[in-house]
Amino acid sequence: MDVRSEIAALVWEIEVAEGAQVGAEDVLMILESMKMEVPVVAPLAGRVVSIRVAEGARVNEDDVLAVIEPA
Amino acid sequence: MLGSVAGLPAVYVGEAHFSVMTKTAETFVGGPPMVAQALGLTVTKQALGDWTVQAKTSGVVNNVADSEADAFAQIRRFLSYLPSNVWQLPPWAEPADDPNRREQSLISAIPRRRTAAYEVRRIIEAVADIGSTFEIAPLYGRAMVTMLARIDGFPVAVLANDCRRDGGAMTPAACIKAERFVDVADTFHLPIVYFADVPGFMVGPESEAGGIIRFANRVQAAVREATVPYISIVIRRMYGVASVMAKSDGMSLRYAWPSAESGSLVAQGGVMAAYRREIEAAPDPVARRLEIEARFQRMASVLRQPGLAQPLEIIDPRDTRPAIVDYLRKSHAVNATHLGPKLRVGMRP
Repeated sequence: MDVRSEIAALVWEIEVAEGAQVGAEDVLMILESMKMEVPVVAPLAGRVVSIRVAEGARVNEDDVLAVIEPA
Repeated sequence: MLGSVAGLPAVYVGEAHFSVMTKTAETFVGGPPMVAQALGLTVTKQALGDWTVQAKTSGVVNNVADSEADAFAQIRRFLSYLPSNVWQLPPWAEPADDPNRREQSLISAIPRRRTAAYEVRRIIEAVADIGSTFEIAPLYGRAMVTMLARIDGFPVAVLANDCRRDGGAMTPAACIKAERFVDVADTFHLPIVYFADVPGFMVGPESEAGGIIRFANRVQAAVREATVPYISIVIRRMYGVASVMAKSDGMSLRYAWPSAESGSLVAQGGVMAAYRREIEAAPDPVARRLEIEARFQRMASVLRQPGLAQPLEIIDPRDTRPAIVDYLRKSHAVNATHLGPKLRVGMRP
């Protein structure tokens, strides 16, 4: 399942590694927009198959940030 | 809208108090043949006026429906909060929820770090009667959240800033959305409940070219003209002229959570605007700027502003629902004296 950005922002901090098991609502990464840190959370529990962005990257609304394989 | 809506009916869409379209519908004042004739452009109906244009970018249409059945369900839901006409009060319904419910989650709803964002919809849902919220225009002007809800059985119009979008700043679109929502609430006698976390009106070239001054004028006028009960809960930031959104005149009421902070300008940026000469003349300008910012930031907390002309009464966040219920019950009798069409005096800027 694709985890997409809801906003145009900078990727500030990535909190999980590829392969990690995450629970629903776990923070995957933190985006920065207008000096606000906006957490991106896992929509469901599962395994992080891939992280599609790097820290410091600029992302647009609807860009895929990570892919999660549902548990 | 369930199909293509062009010309005069498209204008009716914009006049409606609520509008909803399916993802296979379009609306525009003039369709592709008109556009080809007038402008020499070849465009599809979708590119002119599908949901991504009209519900997301232009904001002419409020909501998007997954199916025709969903569209009718949303219309029924919208109407469930409203009276049949402006001569009646909104329909009160026996609440299933406890008016004195103190939601524990509210005590930690605002992150301690002032730059950390949170989901304001969770706060609204914790305060409103369980399962009673219905969001209007969720895809447009997203720095402002507009919801219909019930609190203690009273239909209410909820406004809230969403700090996850544009830092919560009032963009032109957020102003237009709030203005229209306040007008709908005032027309149908819905009390307004506002959760404030606003750094100000949006700054920058895009916002200025987009007419932010005009739209700021208009939303302020709408808030001032409204005669419905109006209660604001300042949950974090309340800065600048945008503070008028937390109405403080007439029978309106303002409360603040301990996390609230306010001022005429946000310290970060505001200090550089006000103290530029002093900062530039300092041996270490960056250090001087940070020092002044830190001084103002310490004063920004409502806990340190007891002497304001209009001090904010601080409440425990868990008491928010009982406090709003109390206000709605007390203001109800006044609201009931304002039935009929609302007379507008003068010109909206």
